Amino acid sequence: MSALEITDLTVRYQSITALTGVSLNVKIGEMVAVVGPNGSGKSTLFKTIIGLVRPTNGKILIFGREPRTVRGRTAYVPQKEEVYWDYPLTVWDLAAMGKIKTVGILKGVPKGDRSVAEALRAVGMEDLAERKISDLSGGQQQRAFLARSIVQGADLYLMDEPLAGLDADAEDKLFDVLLELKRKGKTIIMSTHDISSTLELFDGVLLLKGRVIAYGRPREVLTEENMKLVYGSERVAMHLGDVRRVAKWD
Amino acid sequence: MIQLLLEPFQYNFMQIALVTSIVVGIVTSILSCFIVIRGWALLGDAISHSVLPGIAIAVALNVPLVIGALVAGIGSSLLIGYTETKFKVRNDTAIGIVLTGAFALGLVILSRLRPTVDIFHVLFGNVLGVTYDELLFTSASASIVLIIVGLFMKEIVVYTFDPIYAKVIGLPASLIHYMLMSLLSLCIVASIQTAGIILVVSLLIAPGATAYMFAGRMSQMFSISLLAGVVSVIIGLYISYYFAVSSGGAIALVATLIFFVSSMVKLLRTSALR
Ligand SMILES: Nc1ncnc2c1ncn2[C@@H]1O[C@H](COP(=O)(O)OP(=O)(O)OP(=O)(O)O)[C@@H](O)[C@H]1O
Ligand SMILES: [Mg+2]
Repeated sequence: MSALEITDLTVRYQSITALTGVSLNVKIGEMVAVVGPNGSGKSTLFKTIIGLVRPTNGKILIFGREPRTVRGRTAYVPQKEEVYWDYPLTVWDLAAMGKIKTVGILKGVPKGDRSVAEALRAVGMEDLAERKISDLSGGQQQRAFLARSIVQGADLYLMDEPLAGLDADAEDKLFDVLLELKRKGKTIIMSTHDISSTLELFDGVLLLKGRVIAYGRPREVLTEENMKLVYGSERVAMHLGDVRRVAKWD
Repeated sequence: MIQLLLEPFQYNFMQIALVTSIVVGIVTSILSCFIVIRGWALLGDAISHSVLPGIAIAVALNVPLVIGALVAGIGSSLLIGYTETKFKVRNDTAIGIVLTGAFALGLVILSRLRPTVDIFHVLFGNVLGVTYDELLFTSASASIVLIIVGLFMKEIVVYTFDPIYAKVIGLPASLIHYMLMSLLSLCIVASIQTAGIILVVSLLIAPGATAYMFAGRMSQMFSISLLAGVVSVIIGLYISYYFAVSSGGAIALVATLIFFVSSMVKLLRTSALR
């Protein structure tokens, strides 16, 4: 069984066709990067998977089932702009939101809840539990959201550009958490603009530009021809040479 | 001094006014927190204005005001959402159009019915004229709002903080949204006598805005907002009594002053720290 199986997905917004004939199969426990230029349909792909955007055509199965029936198993970490950061919430409050469906209606999450504490430890935020979320750095915000997903008990993690604005150290810390999740059999799909040797950490790379340009192992997908097809710029292709050398693919 | 503070309450109408005002202060300051956090100030303004045609039509059809007000409040929030998404105009444009359109409709209808309804009181409140029955109605409406907010606090916080997440995990996001809009309408109806539908907006914004500057978490936000809201209505009531000025006006003025004074305090404090 696959974690995510997409067949012939087409998504149209009024006059704009954002995705055409996208098919994709992500196995359980894989970590996949979705790469493509601005407007290539990465966010649209995520929003369609989580059911925010209705596909014009095509089929999506999550863990072999209709997305509607497995809602709690999918976690979505939004792009930064999509939540109200100024909300007076602490890191603990944010993580505890993951329990909202399980704690039951009319009840609160107890302060000493074990799963919340464990999730905060898993993302290395236990010391910041009482910090207001608006006072966190970008990397800490991403990890706080991951904690919420862990509390939720998600098996499929969808992250839209979590690396945007993170420095190397914050990126490392985030990947530590993600690789640990992967070790526990979780499936992770993230979009990124960061074409660097970190892509080597992924099991698969999906190169997207309104349709699937290539999908497979990083070293097979990230080739000069493919990158020219997607970005059409010599600079990106040259940069790719460095990436391949650092990753020791060539 | 004590004499001065107690004197007004030897009168029965002042006791009723005090209790009504405090109830209104409590319920508005709780909703105020969500309105301020989410930037719904203009939306709250629009809903309060659109309550007017609801009241007018209710008077004309001789049905309870609260029914007319609720239908109008929810209807206008639906219309704003529809205008925004279907006609592709900006959110503030949609709100502005619905707000003025609804208000105009209410005014037109009410001006035909003038002898039965005092527009001035609907718009700006008249807390010194509250009857015992009206106090009961205000308290009942306020209790309903507070109980529902209390029961669904978790869901409301998740939805208002991260609406996409609410949808993804399968919370009924639009239901929560329109529930909030209904609560807002109910709260506005409950406040008509005290502050009026125009000036209640100040109680729906200022206490939350004051709290927002100082709060680190939701519980603090609610407590500070409650404090600001209740203090506003009490001081406003005294001013209204001693200076024989409009109660709604006095209350709104105090709420606004509290906001500006605390902003200054915060500003001075942060610049002193530097
Ligand atoms: N709500 C919408 N209505 C109409 N068109 C949209 C909408 N959302 C996205 N689009 C269009 O669909 C296409 C794909 O957009 P999408 O946001 O999925 O790209 P993306 O790969 O996430 O880009 P970025 O790297 O900038 O985040 C773009 O042409 C965009 O203009
Ligand atoms: Mg995007």
